[in-house]
Amino acid sequence: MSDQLASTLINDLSVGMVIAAIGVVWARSLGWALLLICLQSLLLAGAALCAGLATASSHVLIGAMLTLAVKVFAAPILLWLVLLKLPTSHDVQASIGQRTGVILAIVLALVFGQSLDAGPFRTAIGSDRVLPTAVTVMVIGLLVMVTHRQALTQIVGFLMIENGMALAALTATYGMPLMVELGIFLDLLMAVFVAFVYSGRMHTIFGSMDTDSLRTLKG
Amino acid sequence: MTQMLVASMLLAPMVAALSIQAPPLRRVAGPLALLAAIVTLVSALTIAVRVQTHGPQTALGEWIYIDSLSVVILVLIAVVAVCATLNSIPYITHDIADGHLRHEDGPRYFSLLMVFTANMAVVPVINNLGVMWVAIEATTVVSVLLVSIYRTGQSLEAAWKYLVLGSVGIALALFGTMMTYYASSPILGESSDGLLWTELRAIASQLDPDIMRLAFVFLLVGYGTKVGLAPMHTWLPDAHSQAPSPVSALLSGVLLNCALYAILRFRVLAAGSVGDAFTDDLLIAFGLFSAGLALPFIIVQHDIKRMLAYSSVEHMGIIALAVGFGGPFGLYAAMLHLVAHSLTKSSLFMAAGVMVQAFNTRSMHRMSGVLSLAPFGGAILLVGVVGLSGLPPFAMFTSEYGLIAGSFTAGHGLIGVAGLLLIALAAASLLYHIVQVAYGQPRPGKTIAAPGAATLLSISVPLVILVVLSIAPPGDFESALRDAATVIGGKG
Repeated sequence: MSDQLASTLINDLSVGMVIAAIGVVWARSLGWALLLICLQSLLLAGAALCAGLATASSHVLIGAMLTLAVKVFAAPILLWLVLLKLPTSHDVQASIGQRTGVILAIVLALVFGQSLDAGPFRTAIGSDRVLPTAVTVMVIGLLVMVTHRQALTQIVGFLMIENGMALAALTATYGMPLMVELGIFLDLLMAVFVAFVYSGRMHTIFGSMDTDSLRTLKG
Repeated sequence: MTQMLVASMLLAPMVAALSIQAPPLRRVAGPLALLAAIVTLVSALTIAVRVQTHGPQTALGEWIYIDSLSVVILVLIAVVAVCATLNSIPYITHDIADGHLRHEDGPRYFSLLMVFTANMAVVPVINNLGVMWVAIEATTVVSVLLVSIYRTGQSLEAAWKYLVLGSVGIALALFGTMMTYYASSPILGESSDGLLWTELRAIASQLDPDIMRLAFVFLLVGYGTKVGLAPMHTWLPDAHSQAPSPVSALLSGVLLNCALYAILRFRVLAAGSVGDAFTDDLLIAFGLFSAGLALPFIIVQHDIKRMLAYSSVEHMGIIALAVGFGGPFGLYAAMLHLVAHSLTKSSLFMAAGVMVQAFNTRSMHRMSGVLSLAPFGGAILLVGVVGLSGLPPFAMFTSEYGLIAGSFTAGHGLIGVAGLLLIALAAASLLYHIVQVAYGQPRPGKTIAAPGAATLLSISVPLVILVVLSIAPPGDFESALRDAATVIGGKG
């Protein structure tokens, strides 16, 4: 794959990741939120694949495979199992409305997408637009974590932050060294697994996964 | 040789963690874990002696790098781990007997405790800053499981907050680490060498200052979340108060140091690239804010473990402040304060744990007359708080004196005075609370069982070490701290 082609593809994929991020904010059912984060991870894996093919470097390709295994399959499957355990409502509960949330996400995308343009980063691949999109994905992930009240959507927000970070690492330095990359995936998987166990326990103890039940410790 | 020592230090607890799970060994989970912790301590001390006599050690290619700064952090981890494991044996037995824990939670607890210990011990010896991040993030996941061992709503709440805030915070630190790697890649190339601290330190002055400035902000906020610097500290009082007390001792006493250690390593790189003024102003701001924000919560606190946890926020702030002032006084004071805080706080959390179990409450209002009910345990609580208040002859008096001296040398005299005022007020309110607990009138007819030998030994050992280091510090200890201060000053 030529560098030019890879750069164009990565650019398009990263824009797709931002759209998926806004989609998660828009989603009103937990199933959609999961599907969209899964899609975003798939786009990320695609971007890593392009970078790996263009540079013919094995560690970037391994990174792409790991993204596929951990972020597209393992983590969403665990979260899906949590969803199946929910007996009643699969509605997203957020502290801001759907329209406000989407508008806010788009504004954030425009602000971060434009303002970071002239940063100190000169990326090795992709156009210089990829870093701003990576930061945008991270910021929208943070927005999801802050505004969504269910344990499940908070994990989705966390995964989105991770995806943004991985995109930034990919374009800035072709990812991290392999040992570090492996460790990051291991940590991520462990964290999601613990979160999986906890959301089950939360359901047993409080009868819901609404993190509003978690407001007794103060002062 | 160093390789062997590092291996025995890390493998002993891991082997113990696995073998405890074997059914025939479950009965002796506690003693087995204690044995492993002792092996870790002996290895750590031997490593310390080697570093002291032969200078910094590298092993396993360039993967392991141990200098005086690593040694200080490492020995503290090992000492507190041994005491906490010893303390856990009666503590867990008591909680199982009381029905707070199930029978099978015992071996599980000791396994997790050992994994946690080994995990923390990796942080100060690893040279690769990316792997260091992986190790620190792993400490979150492992310790979260220890925090939630009680399976109550409140412990679940504390664990969830800790997991979510800790993971997001540390994700920011990963972004900072990534930027450091990006800054080094034009000079060192895209290999894992680009994240070796020893390599980076040598080329720190060539790193792009714009990138390093941004990287340090992300690292300070990210790792600062795990250190408990305000305003990212909100998870800390919950997690440290809900955890079983020996785990609280590890979390407050040494895990906070691990995250602080990462900040100190990166500070050297950032300061080398953009100059001291930038990194130090940030540290001073976060330090002062943490000490200031913790104060009102200490004053109004009635939960003994939350009070100690807020005091950790305050003391981490003081250490950040001392590092920010810099200079020989400030940096030495920071290291001494770190050591004194670890020893005092771990002992206090375990002593508080004894009281919490004896009175079956964490509220200090309902714990009066401890000194007459349990003379030895009460005395330790009192001595510990006096030590934590920075009264002479304890080491914190010396370190806080150094902090003030450092602030004037650095031309930040006013900030130093403000810091000292916050320290004094916090110390006064801590003493006020504990004096009530110790000397108050015991409830009529209230008696508590005298703590056993293992408990008393585990809570008094850190304080005895502190007293020795305060009154007659061995020459080796002082020179180790001086060397560590030189490392954080960027000249080691």
